[in-house]
Amino acid sequence: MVNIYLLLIFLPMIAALFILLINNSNFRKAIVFLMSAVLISASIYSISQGDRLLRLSHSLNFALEYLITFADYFLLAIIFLIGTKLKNKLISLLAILQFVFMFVFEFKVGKLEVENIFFVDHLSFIMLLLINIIGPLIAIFALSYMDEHEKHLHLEKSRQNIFFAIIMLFLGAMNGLVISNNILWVYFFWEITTLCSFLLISHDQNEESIKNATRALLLNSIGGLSFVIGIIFMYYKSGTVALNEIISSQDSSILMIPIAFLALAAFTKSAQMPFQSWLLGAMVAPTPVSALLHSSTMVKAGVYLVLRLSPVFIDTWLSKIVAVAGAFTFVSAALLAIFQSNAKRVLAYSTISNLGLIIALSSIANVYAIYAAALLIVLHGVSKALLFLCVGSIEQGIGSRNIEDMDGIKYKMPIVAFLTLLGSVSMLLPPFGVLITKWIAIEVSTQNIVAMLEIILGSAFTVVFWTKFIGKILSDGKDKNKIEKFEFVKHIPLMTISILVVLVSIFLIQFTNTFVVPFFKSSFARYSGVSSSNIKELYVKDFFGFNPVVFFGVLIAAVVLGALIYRLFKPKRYVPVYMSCENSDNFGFRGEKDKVVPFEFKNYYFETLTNEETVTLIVNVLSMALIAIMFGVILK
Amino acid sequence: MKEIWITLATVIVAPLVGGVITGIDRKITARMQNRFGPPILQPFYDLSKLFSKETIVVSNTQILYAFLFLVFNIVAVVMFVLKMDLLLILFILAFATTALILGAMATNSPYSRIGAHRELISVLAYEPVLIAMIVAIYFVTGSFNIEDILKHNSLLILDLPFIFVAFSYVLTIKLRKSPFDLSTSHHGHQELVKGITTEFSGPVLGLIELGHWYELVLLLLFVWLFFAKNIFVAITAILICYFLEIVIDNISARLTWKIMLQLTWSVAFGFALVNLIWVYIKYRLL
Repeated sequence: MVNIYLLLIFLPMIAALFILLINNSNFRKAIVFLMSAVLISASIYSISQGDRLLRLSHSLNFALEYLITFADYFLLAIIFLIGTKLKNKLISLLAILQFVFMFVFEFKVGKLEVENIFFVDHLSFIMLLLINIIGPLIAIFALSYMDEHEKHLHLEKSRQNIFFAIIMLFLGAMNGLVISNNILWVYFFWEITTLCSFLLISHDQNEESIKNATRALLLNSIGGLSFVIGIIFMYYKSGTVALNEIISSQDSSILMIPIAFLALAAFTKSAQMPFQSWLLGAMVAPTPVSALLHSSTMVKAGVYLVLRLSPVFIDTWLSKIVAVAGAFTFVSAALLAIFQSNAKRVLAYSTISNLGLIIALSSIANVYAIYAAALLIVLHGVSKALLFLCVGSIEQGIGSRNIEDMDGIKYKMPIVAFLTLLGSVSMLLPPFGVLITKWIAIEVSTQNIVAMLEIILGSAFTVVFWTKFIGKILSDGKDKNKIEKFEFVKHIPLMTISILVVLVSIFLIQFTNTFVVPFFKSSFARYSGVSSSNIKELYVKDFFGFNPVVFFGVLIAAVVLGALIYRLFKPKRYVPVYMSCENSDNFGFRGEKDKVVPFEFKNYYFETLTNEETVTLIVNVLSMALIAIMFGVILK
Repeated sequence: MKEIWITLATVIVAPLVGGVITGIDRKITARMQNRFGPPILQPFYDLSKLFSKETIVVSNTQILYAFLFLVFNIVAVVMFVLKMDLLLILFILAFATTALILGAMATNSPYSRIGAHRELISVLAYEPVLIAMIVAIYFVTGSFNIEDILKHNSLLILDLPFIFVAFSYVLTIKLRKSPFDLSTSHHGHQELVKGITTEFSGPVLGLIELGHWYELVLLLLFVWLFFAKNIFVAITAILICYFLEIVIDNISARLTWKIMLQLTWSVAFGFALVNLIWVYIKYRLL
């Protein structure tokens, strides 16, 4: 039984080793396809087993404990060496500090016995589904993308073996992170994801990618150090390092200090303000990396940790501040997204913004807030994976990731343009689920007025930057030559993810009842305060007396039908746009001596009002102040 | 069953009311400008004329967006009459506007695209005020549902005077009245031709016009909400409110988007915020 969980963690790592050693394209493709099949079926099989706490046989447990302890030190040593190689003293220093703290702690405390190795509940299931379905799909997409990518770079020897090995390692580590019960193991897998993200971001080995990867490593090392301090405090305050015991501890008020440190670690991993810069820099990496970091792995580790620990600190002053900090990231990232003309940066800010909302929702004491947080992890993960892969395809197709260059993309790359449209619509409009979580967010945040104001402003900003983005994808362009060729390995993963985007929204209520409600019951049951608001049953039939999918489904169907009937019965004539009748097509007008003067219209980016640097500076200062307040509140 | 009749009645009556109000608006405006003005039923003649015309489009998707704009507006009004969730109604209203913006951006016309962007800036300006209004109503009445809000035992305006001021301010933007008729205007609009609706014509423009009538009714229903306890006070308030909008429309010049954004965020949102904080303290903390 326990083997399935070991398999989820260690099989991808073993596969990574094979991929690394045997640098052969066909072999690699075979392994990636095989691992995808294994991971998807293994995760579904493990879910069918239900909630459980698992212990290993004594000898295996003993061996694994030692293996992970030593691997942990080894990992820190590697990060230290990377720090020295990059001549970044701060990274080395942070690695040494983590090493020393960890070593002294384990030396003083002696052997930390955690009886149950794996703590698998419905939150783990949600994460496992996300990691093991979206992750492999991105890996399959990467097979064709990386071939194309390396063709552009003119490498002598393919470096794809390293790339796919790290991706496999990454997936294994993420699986370990979400099912480990020992918080030291969680830390170990946490550090692996840090290292993997560094390696993936720096994959192209040019100046910019190394610079941005260094920043990612530095910021995540701060989080790592905060994690270690959190663990040490946790042990001294509660006497345990087992997650299941921590979240069911009766006297949670003494745990505020460790929780604050762990929350800070989560902030760095989830790229919350003021740590957002590493995720923005991460887009220099090949697109599948961005898709992976933004959707199912890495950033989701941070929000997972906050949601996991939420039962301990919810409804305390700390949770109120964390909610304000999360909502602050929501509004400021949405604001910054308005200034962006780079499609990937828009998506990156949107990710940061949504992660902020997840963190805010995780710390609002209301049953629907927790539901919305868990749902948004999935909804955002699926949509964002699709969007990043689409923008990556567009970039390879038209040679630009600038939104202004996407005029007429619907003619040039119809499939990808349609999928991009679907992805961005799913982030903004009904009948998709993200909207429902935003709606819940405003309704539940009324108990925290500061967070509420932030969410109000943030949702207005969100409408603006998505509408600009969607408008551009649909816009007309002069060049109508189709450049897209259907490629199986490239388009099938895209289409699969887009089907998932639709399915998750259609079955949102069923999904909530199957996964989110049991998670809530098992983790938050003892908090009567959380579910007090006239809820007789935790299972949802609808959201606030409203079945969103039926409602919006019927609505949209009616509109489309109406428009179709209208088109059939009303014959129509096509004309060029209005330019005082001085034009023959949609792209220029007749000027002096009938010379055609082309015109173009760019989106507004509000450069005259303010700019990204100023806003970033202000929000960084404010968010640092919030973090200071967060720690100030818990100091006794 | 009762809901179905109410829905049907709303769908039929709302545009009639909206059309008549628009007609009266045009008449009063004309008198203010020393003109005689068209008959009160002129908007209906205009609409039937629009629907009798040939369908001329630049791109196919325009028709879909015009439909979406109309349907979202109808749904918002119906949901209001059926006393559903206010926040959701506001979202639906926002999607109606989004549909219109996307429709304008679907063509390559600079006029309609600039109009679309100005409309987007308007959304940025008024949306926070509208949401703040609804949250303030929640603080006072303890519910987002119109059904429960109407059970409140005094006039909402007594608790939310500043919010009402902010809402009236935003109403000018929503109704596209001067000084905030940036995206498209009822009056001559030289610099942008017809702004966001430049590329819509004939029956497709008719759909949008119809949508505007529903929108108008919904906005006036929001005004009614503040005075819901007393129907006579409510009708008087709506009339005064709308008359003031017409006066402002006729005495002010169009502002730039930048000034609109700064003014709305400082004045209107500031007013809303002050009121929001005091009702929060009054009803949640005390």
